[in-house]
Amino acid sequence: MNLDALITYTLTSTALLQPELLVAVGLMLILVTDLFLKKTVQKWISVLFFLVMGLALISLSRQSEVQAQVFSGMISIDGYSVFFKYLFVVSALLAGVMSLFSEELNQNRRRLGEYFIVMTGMVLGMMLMAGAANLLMMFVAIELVSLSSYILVSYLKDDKISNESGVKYIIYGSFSSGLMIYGISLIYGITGTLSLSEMNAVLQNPAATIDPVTLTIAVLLVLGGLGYKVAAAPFHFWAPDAYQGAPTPVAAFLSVAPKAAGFAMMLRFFKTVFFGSATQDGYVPLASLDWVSILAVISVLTMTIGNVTALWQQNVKRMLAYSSIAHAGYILMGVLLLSDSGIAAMMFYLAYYLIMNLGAFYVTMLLGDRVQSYELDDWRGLGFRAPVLAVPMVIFLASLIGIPGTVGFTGKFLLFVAVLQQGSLYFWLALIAVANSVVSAFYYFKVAKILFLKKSADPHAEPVTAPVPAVVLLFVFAVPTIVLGIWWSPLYNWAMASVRMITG
Amino acid sequence: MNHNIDAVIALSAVLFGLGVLGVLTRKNAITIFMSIELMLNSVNLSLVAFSRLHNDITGQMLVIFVMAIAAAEVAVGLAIVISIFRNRQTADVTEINLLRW
Repeated sequence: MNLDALITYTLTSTALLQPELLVAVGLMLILVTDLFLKKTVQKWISVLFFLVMGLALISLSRQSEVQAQVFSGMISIDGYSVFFKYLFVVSALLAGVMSLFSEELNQNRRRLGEYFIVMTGMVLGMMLMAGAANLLMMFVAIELVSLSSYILVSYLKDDKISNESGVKYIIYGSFSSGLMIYGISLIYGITGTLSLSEMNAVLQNPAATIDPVTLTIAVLLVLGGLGYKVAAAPFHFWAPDAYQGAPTPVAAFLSVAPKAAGFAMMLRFFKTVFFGSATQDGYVPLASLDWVSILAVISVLTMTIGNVTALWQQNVKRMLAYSSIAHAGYILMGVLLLSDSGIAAMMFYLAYYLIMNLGAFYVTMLLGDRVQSYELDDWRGLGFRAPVLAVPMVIFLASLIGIPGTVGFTGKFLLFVAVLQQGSLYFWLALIAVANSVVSAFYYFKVAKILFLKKSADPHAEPVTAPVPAVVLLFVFAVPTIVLGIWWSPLYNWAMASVRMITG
Repeated sequence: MNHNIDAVIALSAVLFGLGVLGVLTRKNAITIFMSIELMLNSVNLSLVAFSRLHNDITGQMLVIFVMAIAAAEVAVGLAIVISIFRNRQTADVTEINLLRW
């Protein structure tokens, strides 16, 4: 390729990658603007953040028709990645608004500029994760997200618990990214390429001699890095500590967006590398590696550990952390199914999980800020003191359990149907998942019980209220949780239309 | 030159193992970060060796990225360790135990 052609190619690629570039430019813009903003008006930096995210949404709608691989096969742009990019930008917007109402973030007059800079960087990393079609890009993107989350988790510099969760998070995180990059180097050693589609070609070539043991070890190591990102079972230990210590909007954001990014990347990795030639159904796994069983075991472990450990949690944030681990287990079922409906169910699950989980964390933040505690014992009878906040909380909890009428039921139903469609082989998997949902009802109901059925320790306690804009945002979360439960087909159809990813 | 690839890969595996061991057994947060660096650098070694084996430059490209990311990771990590040290006068991870189960 001569220089002119190279320049033209780069420019074409750049033009196709508009939303990502917008976010990157926005990051620098926020950074520079923050330097010149006086401390008294620094809250206005958030306006710039919302502007950047809004523009990214608009340019995403223009990206949705594109089907291309850009920058020499580094990044895929397809319906699949655009679906996830929408999720990231929307959750960043919602979490950004949440942070404006958070007392933790605003009380000590820290500059909010750096908070929004790091958040923008994280969105950029997640957008790249959803599209990454090369191990190099995967590693860089996952690290961009990780580094941003370390900073956000330990953002409350004077808070000992925030410090502690930051240090635990970064030790677990860099350890598993070390495992992942070692796995990547082994895969590179086996196949001689970093591109996912070329790797697939090598694995399909009958002449190539590939040691299955080495390949399994390498993939397990890569899975370590990915599993850490989605908080799947042997790599979930960071999640409760990080969520409990992090400022609540950050914990909320971490529990939905990077998780979705991790799943997006995991699925693209497995689907691109380990499938044979595209047939009508599209999914014939290569015999070289039984990753379906590996993922099934991880999925069962993850949901069981998450749900069982959540049972005896006394801290609401920690309980929600274990609940999000359990949900990662359910979502993993969608990854390991070799079907379009499985992928669509997974994407649908991630989309509505974003709304209901952000909602649950949001109420937790509002109540926790006002009672100055996240311990369940201090929340006794809070439902009567703050009905406006507590009733939506019950809706979110019901949806997290999967009570019919909420979107949580629809999502689980679609997922279980997709599992059962794959035949009796997966029957036990669906059975374990249903049993797990039943277990989860206990700890979700415990919160509702404490809010409404227990008497407050102090009978004359003041009613708890929140400012009107904060309550309005609450309905932004609560209304879709109900409405999507009944009118779910548009979102599901969109997910169904976006399942096919291009492989280059 | 290609004949010694096994030895290089073995050396990288040993270094990686030492790094993992260090992370699991060390108590000082800074030593843990040094062990993580050892893990990442052993990967660099094997990447360069594989790159040579396949006569392909992308492996060495990845090495540059790993180095940059390792530097960023340590910068963030040390910043967090400094802030924890300011608040608690310790960098011993066994004493950092406010959060349990």
